[in-house]
Amino acid sequence: MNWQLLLGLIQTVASVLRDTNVIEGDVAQWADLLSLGATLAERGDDAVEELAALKAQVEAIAERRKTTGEGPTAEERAAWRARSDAAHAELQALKGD
Amino acid sequence: MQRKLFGAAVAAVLTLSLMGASCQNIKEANPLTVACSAVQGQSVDVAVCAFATYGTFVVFEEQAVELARDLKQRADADGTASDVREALTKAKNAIISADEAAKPIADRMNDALQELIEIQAELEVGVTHDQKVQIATANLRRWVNEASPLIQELVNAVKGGNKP
Repeated sequence: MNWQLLLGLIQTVASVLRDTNVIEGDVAQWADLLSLGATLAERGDDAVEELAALKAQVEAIAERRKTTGEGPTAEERAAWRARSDAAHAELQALKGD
Repeated sequence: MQRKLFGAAVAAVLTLSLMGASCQNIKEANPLTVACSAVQGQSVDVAVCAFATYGTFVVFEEQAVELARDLKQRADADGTASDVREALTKAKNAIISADEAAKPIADRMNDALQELIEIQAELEVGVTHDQKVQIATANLRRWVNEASPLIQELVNAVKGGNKP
């Protein structure tokens, strides 16, 4: 399945239906929500890549733990903490109406 | 009207199909399956499990930022109907609330991981005793158990962000 092609198709269908006024009123609002659904699907791909990278890191740490006994290093933990702090700060900035 | 509904329905089916495929991919890439599931004859290494749990939290926290930004942009866009704006804002705030609930507990879990690693290092050079390691391990396990459902709530909020 060509993921990007289908994603583009959804966005095109939603925008064409809305722009040509084939859909209007309540149904036009669906188009906005469907377009958002397509965005989320794209995000899902980003999450898969990030999770796969984390999984590879975890497997490497688990292997290191077995051979040398060394667990996650201070640098490895600090890097994730820094990313979390940055994401949390951005979410706080988006808070409100 | 039938034509309008048919168009919307086609787009809905395609969107849901894509989302289903995406969820399956996330399941397969899940780092927790390798870190937090006991392999036959071996116990879970809680330090590695905690690391994987924290990392998973951060991945979804970063996804939450992108999604919350999208929701805000759509809500703020000119011409957005007030009820749609309200629904989009509600979905965005649900994601932010889920992060607010999970973040402090996830950080405590990460701190407990740090403590365990430090105590294990002390044990190796003989400046502490095994009982201290056991206590730190039990403490970390408790934080993992406490953080996991809150992180799952964040994951659910991010996945459900398309259904305001």
